[in-house]
This record gives sequence, structure tokens and C-alpha cells, in this order.
Amino acid sequence: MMSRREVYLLALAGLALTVSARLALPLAPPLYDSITLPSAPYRWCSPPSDLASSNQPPQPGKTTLKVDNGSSAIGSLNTADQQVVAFFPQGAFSAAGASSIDVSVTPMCAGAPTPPSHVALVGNAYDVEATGKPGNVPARLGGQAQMLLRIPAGSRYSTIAVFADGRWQTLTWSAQPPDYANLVLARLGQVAALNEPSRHAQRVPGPGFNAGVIIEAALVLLAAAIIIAAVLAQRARQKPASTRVRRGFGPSDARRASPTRKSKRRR
Amino acid sequence: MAAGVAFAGCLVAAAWWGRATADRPRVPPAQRKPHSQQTQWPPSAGALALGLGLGVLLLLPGAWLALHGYPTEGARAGVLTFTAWAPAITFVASSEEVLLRGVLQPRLARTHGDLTAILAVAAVFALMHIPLYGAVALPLDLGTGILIGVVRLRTGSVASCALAHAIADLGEWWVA
Repeated sequence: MMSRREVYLLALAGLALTVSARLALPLAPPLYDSITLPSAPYRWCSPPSDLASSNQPPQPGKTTLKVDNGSSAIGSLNTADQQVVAFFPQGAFSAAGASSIDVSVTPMCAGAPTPPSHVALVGNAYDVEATGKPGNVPARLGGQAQMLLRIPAGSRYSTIAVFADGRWQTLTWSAQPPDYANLVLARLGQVAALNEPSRHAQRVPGPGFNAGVIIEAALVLLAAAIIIAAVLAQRARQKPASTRVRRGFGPSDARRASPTRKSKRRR
Repeated sequence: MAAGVAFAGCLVAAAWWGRATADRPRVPPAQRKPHSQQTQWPPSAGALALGLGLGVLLLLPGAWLALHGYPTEGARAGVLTFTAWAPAITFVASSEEVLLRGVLQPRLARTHGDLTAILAVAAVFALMHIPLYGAVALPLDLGTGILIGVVRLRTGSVASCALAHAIADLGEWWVA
């Protein structure tokens, strides 16, 4: 048995974990069973031949962050097609003398950096830029931004990297089902998913399949079965008791005699 | 898919473990707290208020993010999508609570004590969401699982847990 103090301490620990996780990873899915909206088809810069006729071009995104005392305000950005969503914590950018910072994410449909040999680019590369205003001064990413990068359904990728300072640099990332990678953007540059055949690859499920939804459905069915079983068990427990009353077993039952018994006495 | 199979195995194993150890109580009967192991029905007003309060509390970090420009799912999807999905979300949340806090937690509490039960069920709760949301959601779900487990312990009510869970789900998606 837990004391009241232990219960409060446990609740406090749970609350601290919940709040810190939510604020530290704002682009991680929130609780819990919110729906995953059906995604529109991926917008390719260079679509596979079978998708070329229906493909729409990918879209850019832009935002402006205010600067107070040389430190950028908290803010977020998403491309119009939701293929990139980024979150910038307080002080993520710094730009000398700037009063605001323009941040843009642009799909690189021309001039995307070439991946290393034996490594394939998966989906689109996106150029992440930041410029301080006024004066178009270059802004520096001092903190760590969080970004969701959509990966085409049915494809495989082994890493997420940023092309900066003339080379590809691997980023910290994890898969966010069904078709996003959640990454920590430590520097500005061209961000893309890469697939190196010799390394373990994440596979993005094809359209129309989501293992998580199947598991949730199974859970719901299991819970429904438990509820039905509990109701049936309760009825089964009540049945012998009512039978005893009618048959007159036990002194208390006899006192609460059924109408049948009463009518017999009257006769 | 592999993660899904792993989770399903985990859940079955946890349920089997709870069932298998049910007849070997480790906590002396005198120290047991029946309130934490029995389901109170109908729930008291206090229990529902606690569930409501926890649901609102869970929304506050998301609301803070929304106030600072974080885009919300609901704002992207619109009212109609939300209305169509709200019953399904509520049903799924309630089902999870029936299974985890209604069946598993009291069974584990009976054999291993309340603390172990709350932590183990919170871990199952966090693991079961990995196939749907990825490992990145694990810390948040673990913390939330602990909080809902504490509500179950204090109120003895699964309805209050389901209320907190459903409010947090719906609100996080739309309000926050």
C-alpha cells in the first residue's frame, strides 16, 4: 500500500515527465490517440515515372521570428503541403543587429546537392535558410531546432543528413510513423533523407497500411470483449442468488418471501 | 509491423503474468488497499472531477505551445474532420483505459503492490503507442500513464481515467 506522500511524489514525477517531454519535443506526437490525418500524395521534385502524371510540385514555407536582445523568439514554420514542419525554440537563431529573422524552407527541385557515391536521395531535399532583417545579415542557428520531414510512402531510408560546409552531416533523428522523420536540426543547409544500401533502413509503409491503427483496432476489440465478458459474468453471479430467493433457501430469503409464497399463506 | 507484433506480445505477456501470479499474493492481505483494486461504479462526483482536472492539466503544455505559434492538428484539419473523428477517439481512449487501468492495474496491484502496478501499466501504455507514433512519443506517454494510474489508485474509478484520457486526446488535437 502506498502512503499519501508516496502517491503525491509519484504524481509529481509523472507530471514533470509529461511537461518536460511535451516542451522538449514539441513536434513529437502529443498524447496519445489523436488521429493521424490521411496524408495527401507526396509532392515530388522528381517523381517516379508512374506518378509523374498526377504529381504536384512541392511547396515552400516561410516565417518571421522577432528578435529581442539578440535572441530569436519561439516560433514554427511549415510548408504549405505539410511536407516539412519546423519548430524553433527561444533563442534558436542569432543575427548581429537584426530586429527579426526570416526563416524559409524551400524544396530544391534544381541544384540539390549530390549524395555520396552508393547513397541515394530519398524524396526531396529542402534548403533551410535564415536571414536577419534589416540588412539581410546572415543568421546563425545557435540552438537546436526540431523538424518533421516527410518521407515518400513505400520508400526506404537509412539516415537524415544536412549538406553544409560542402559535406553531408548526419543528424539526430527518429522515425515518426507513419511517414515522417523527426529530426534535430543542428545547422542550416540542405536537409534530405538518404538511403545507403549497406546500412539498416527504415521502411515507410505504403499508402493504406498502418500497423498502429491495426493494433489500436485490436485493442478496442479486446476491451469490448472484456466488457461483454464482465457483464455476462455478473449476470451469471446474480442468477443463482435470485434462484435461491424464489426457492426459499436461507432465513433472510424466506422473510423476503416471493409473491408466490405470500399468496400460498393467504390461501 | 515488427514493432506491432512486439507490442502485442508484450501486452499478452503482461496480462498472462498478471493472471499467473494472481494466486500468489506477495503483499500481505492486511496491507492491501482494496480501494485501489476494485472498480467503483458508478463513479463519484469527486472521481469525475479529478479525471476532468487531469484532462485539463494535460492540455496546459500544448496550450502553451499553441500560444507560441506551434501549429495544431485541429487547426489544419477543420471542425468537420474533428467532429467525425471525436467519437472514435473517445471510444479508443476508453477502451485502452478499460484494458489497462480497469483490468491490468488492479490485478498487478493485488499481487505486486500499487507502485509496481502503476509503473508497469504506464510502461505498457507507452510501449503500445510506439507503432502508431514512434519511439519519440514514449517519454510523454510514460508520464501520462503514471498520472492516469495515480488517478485510478486514488479514485478506484476507470471512468475518471477514461474521462481524463479522452479530454486530453480531444483537446490536444483541437484546442491546444
